[in-house]
Amino acid sequence: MTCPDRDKWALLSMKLLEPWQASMLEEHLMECESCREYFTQDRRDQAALVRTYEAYDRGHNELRDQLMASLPEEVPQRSRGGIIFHTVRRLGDSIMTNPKIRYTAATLSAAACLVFAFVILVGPSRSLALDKIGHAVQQTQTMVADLAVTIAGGTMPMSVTGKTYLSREYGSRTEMYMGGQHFLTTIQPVDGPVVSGRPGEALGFRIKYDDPSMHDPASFRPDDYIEKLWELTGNARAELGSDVIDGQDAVGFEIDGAALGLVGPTASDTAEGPAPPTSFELWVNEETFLPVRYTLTMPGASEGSLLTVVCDRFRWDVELEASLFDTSIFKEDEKPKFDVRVPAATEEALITGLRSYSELIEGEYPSALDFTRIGMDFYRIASSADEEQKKKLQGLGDPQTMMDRLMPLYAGTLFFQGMVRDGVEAEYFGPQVTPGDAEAVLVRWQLDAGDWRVVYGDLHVETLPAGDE
Amino acid sequence: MAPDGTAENQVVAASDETLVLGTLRGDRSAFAELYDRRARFIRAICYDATRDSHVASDLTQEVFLRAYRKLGDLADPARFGPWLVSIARRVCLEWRRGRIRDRQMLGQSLHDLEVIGPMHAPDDQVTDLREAIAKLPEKDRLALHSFYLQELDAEQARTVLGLSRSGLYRALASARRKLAEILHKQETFP
Repeated sequence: MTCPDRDKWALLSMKLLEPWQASMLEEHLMECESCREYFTQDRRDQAALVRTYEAYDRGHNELRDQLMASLPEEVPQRSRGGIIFHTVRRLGDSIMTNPKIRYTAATLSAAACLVFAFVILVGPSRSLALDKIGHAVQQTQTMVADLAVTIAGGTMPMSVTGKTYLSREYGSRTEMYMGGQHFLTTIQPVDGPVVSGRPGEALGFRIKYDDPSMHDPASFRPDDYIEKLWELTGNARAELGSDVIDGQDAVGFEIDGAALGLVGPTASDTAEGPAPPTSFELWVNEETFLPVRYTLTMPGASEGSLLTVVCDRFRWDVELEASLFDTSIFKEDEKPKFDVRVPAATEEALITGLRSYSELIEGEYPSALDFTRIGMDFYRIASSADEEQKKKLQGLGDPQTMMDRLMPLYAGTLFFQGMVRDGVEAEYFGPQVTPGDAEAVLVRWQLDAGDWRVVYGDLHVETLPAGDE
Repeated sequence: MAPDGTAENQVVAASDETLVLGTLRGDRSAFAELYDRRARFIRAICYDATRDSHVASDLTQEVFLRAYRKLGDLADPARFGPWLVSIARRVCLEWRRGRIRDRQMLGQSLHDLEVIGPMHAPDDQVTDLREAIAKLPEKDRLALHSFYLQELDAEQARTVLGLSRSGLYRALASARRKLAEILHKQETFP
């Protein structure tokens, strides 16, 4: 075992690691003197911190008594908004307290990555959170499932089938078929770039990350996955009862789509009526709680169309050969059709990406800093019968140029979403801001010191003291 | 979780939400429990901003007084912790701006409080460590405060901060790494 990174030792001394992780590190300690020395120091740090924080106890009781004596006599009155919120919240809590549903949500997120696999294939859409989840499945080592994707109605009806393989050890592989013909395989090895193409032929595309941690499954903490499950749990909208799916007794759940990072196009309403709502259904084995079917239904990109993704025939913990994830099935010596470089998720990427977008779609910033949403918007514009709308996309150029120009935006959206996920106060006002407006705040987020970092409509950036934002 | 980490002790602890709702029904002891649970954490935040134990104690009292008065506006009682932190930030900011310069600065809200010096002169190592912690980025500091002042319970700590568990772990690991760099570079740490 190579030496773990130093953060692991801190987490060990804080007793925050899972028992199996702690055991691995402790075994390493037995054989590595330098880590032993480092960990000894780390434990001293831990003890000193505990002592230091104990000092905040001094005088606590007296201060509490003083405070209680000084509280106003009148009882604080609850606002009406608070009452409504609390009622809604309790519904979510009743779901969260049910361990079966919690476990179900866990399995759901594994299935969600299949949907994600499709999303990345049909458009430049990607959700890092789902990508992480797909590779961070804790309860299982491997998963195999079938995919069926149909777009009914609209200008681009289609039907695609596929199969996805996930392995914690090796990575992921998705094969797609149209009309029975194998047309695309995408492989994301644990330690290499994402590659896609048809086996035996040149690569269709290759994605390299400037920041390897953006796609390195090994760098994701198991807790990312666990945390995502909790988020999803609160979004189980309804139980769908029992049924027999693929010969298995199953129970079903309906899930709110936004929790998965998937949102439907926003303008698919037709003359016949409003677009159907996005719906997600998950059916799981009654005993194992592993998924047996997962169905996503959402409005398609073109008017009046309906996109349906079904994942079923799940198999869990089956043995998967390393060769399945071997990218040498492609002719890697040839240049891929698309060679994509993803910059690190930074402020610089965000600004570069927003500039590209505003140049491509003249006079607009994205409707949201969500790349899935942006991809859907592009797709909708491309499918639109409105020539004026389509003209907006002419600046995208060939697909390679488009990728080169959009990847900073992708990285920028990750930068923004990462802040939101980590609890940083961050806001985006794109739909209300005209490119070039030096006065209007386009994006802002709070820095550690309380100051605000503000990006304006003309993309100049300022740091404002707290309170001046 | 209790220091011994037993589930039994975990079960008996009321949630922040329960205590907030109890306070709104007029149960003052529920607010006292919230104070017991969170005041040390708020005191640590205020210390970071002021580097003065006495002022930190004063400001902490102010934070809780404001919280009590505004409790009915708290939309989601389960987020009492993050809400309290936002009040603390505001109070510390006001203090830093010089709007609060002396005992009168706390205005009527503290008129009947005779604040004592609760945190007696800490030993040198505690002082050094507090100073080092105060140099960390806010997110790292808050992660340390919440974790070490919530009985080393990650779940409670993340709840207070409104962070994901992985977000808390990252912040904690980052804080410990930076702290070690500061302390061992200064050679003030054992």
